[in-house]
Amino acid sequence: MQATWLVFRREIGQYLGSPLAYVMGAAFLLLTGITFNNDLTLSIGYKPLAPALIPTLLASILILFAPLLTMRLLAEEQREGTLELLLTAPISDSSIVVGKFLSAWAYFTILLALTLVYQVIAVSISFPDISHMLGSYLGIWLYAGAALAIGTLFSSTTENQILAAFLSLVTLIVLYFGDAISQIVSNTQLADILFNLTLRGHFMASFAIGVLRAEDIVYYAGIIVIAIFIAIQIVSSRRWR
Amino acid sequence: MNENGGLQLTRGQLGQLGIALGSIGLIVTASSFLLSGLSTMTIAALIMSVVGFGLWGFFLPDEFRAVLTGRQMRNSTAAILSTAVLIGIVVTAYIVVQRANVVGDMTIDERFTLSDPSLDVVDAVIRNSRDIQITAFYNSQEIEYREVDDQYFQLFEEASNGRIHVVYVDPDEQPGLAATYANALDQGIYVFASFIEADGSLSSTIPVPITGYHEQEISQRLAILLASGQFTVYFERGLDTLDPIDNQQQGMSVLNNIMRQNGLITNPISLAELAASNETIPEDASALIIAQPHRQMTAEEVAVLNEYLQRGGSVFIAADAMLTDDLFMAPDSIFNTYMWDHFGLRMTDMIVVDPASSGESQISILSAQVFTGNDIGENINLEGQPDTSVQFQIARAIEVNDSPPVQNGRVIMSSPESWGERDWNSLFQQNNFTFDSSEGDVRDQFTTVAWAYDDATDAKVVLVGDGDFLTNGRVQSPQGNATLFLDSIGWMTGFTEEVQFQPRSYNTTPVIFVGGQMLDTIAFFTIVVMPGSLLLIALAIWLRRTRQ
Repeated sequence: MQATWLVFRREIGQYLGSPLAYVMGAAFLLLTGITFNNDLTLSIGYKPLAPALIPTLLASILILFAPLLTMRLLAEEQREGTLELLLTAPISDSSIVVGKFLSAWAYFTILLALTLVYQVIAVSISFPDISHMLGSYLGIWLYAGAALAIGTLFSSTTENQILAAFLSLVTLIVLYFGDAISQIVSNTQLADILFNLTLRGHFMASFAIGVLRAEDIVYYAGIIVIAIFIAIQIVSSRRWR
Repeated sequence: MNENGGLQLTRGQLGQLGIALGSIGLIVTASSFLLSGLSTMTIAALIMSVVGFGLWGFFLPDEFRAVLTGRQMRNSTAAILSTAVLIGIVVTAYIVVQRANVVGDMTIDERFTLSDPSLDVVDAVIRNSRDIQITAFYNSQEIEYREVDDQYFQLFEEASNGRIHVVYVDPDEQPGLAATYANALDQGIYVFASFIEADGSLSSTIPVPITGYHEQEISQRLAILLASGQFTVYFERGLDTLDPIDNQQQGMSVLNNIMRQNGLITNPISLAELAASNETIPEDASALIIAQPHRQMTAEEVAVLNEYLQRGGSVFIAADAMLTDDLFMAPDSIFNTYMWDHFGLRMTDMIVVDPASSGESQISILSAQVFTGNDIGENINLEGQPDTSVQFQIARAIEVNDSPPVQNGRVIMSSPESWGERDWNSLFQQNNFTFDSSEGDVRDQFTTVAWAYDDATDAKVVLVGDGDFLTNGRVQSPQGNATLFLDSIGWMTGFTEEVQFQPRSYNTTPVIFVGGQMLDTIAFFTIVVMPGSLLLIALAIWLRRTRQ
């Protein structure tokens, strides 16, 4: 636990000390800010503010955002040879992977928390559905955890950051648009299975509309656990390959 | 190939073939198991896999042993196995939780929680002797909609202790079943509710239009389904009235179909035939409709109707203006006198002309004043909804006795600027209607729809001075025409009371507190200040690094 905390602190320090992370954050806030203002203008005198607007937007942005955040996590260490050093240190493989993953998730959490400013504004000018909004934020936080875990997994497979980003991007696209693939197949059962495998399917049909389903939480937690576990196995394999 | 041109395989090649077979078999087994469980295909693929790996072990025993016992293999096998076990645990947990259906409603309006009125409907379902099936049609392209709808269906399924069953049908996979619902499916209605009979067949199927207010819509239709079959409405056909089966412009099939879709039973009847055979209107008659009759009623027919009303019957009368010597409810006719004597309502000999509230001409009058203190008028002339008005092409004025023998009242009146035209010849033959007091024309506000209720017998009457508004060509233009008729039927039969469902009100309101300046401030802060601050931090870090 102590080792995980050390890795986490080192990694989050790298995020917060990197100008690129702030530029990414600025782009993130610009996009969400424009979306919020657009909805606000459309809502005046006509409809309540959409409680899940920002999380729904993030559900698609994360396909691009998660690979960018995670691509360097382990791939850079491998390329620069520092992973070998880490592996010889008195730190377990799981501490390395989990610490790095948690740092990426924490960075995203900070950005997500910044978007709560929109909700504070919403509360001050109208009567938004706060519980619905908080539910959708919980959903997108778990969704992001799953997306970042997948990114961490692919970052552990190669020393090439671009390749790691590309592989996680492709995987996230498949997991996001899996329901679109399910629309191509004519078999309803198969379409149902495909839909239930997608990241989007577990967000749009529940958190986004104000429902909290235990199965969705288990799904995202499951993706995180499996992806991180495989990443740990891959890192561990360097010891006996 | 050997020297003779035959195929010759080495042990190594056979072993490799075994690996390929085994691997493919394993993948097919997993896929087949996920798709269809432990099917023939799954077992066959599993056998293929075992045979494949068996061949590998048989033809290349040394390689097989080395792979199984080598250090790398041990480690990678352990990694793969532990991952597979973890995936298995996660999948099992997911399935268990999914079956448990643990759901939390996060909306402020509790949209995913059944309201008290809905629970009352569900209680009625539980008390009912027959189970209910909700049949919902989704093809593979509509899985996302199904996922959303399913959450509402499950609420009803659970609240009813399984008395409401949900069945999903793919219309592409079961076109035969879908054909039964083809008309409704074409209109975008894809959910239906039916009773399940003892033999498993479905009955009294009604459509459940889903427009976004799932709970309210499902509850309302379940209430209607529970009431279905309880009410029978008869169409009088012996007076040359509108045909409820005719789907042409002059027919009345639209209203008939709407009533049937709402669970009402409709049947034709002839007062003349009943009178001739000395029979009475059936006991199950919840209401009788006399729509645009073309002749006067005989004394015998009036007697049949009177007998029905005396035992608590209800009658809806749409008496049109016609240029005929045999005008239905002519001022001095038997039936007109009967209605005045018993219910304090009668038709006059005036056609209403309304310069202030009319459509394409001054005799095409709109509902200028509506009395909303009754079940019939409450949904007419709704504020901001012009389609809820009622329009009569030519309407006769109704006289309402203000000291009636029973309770009565007005539903719709013309505007105070209107007047009554008595010269029907000039109006019908030359389309000429001008106010002429010498011909008996009267300036007044006229009643065009009225009601009466006899609390001693429970008899109910609705009298309308027009019949055209019931025809297919007019009944939905404006929509208020259909509302007038259906709400009248609802009041007369008691159907409205039976299926009455008070939907919940919603707490969320539109954004209203924002002025232009505040909008600008919000936009400046969220689009400029917030991202700009991060950019400034990025710049500061970059400058500090370059200086170092």
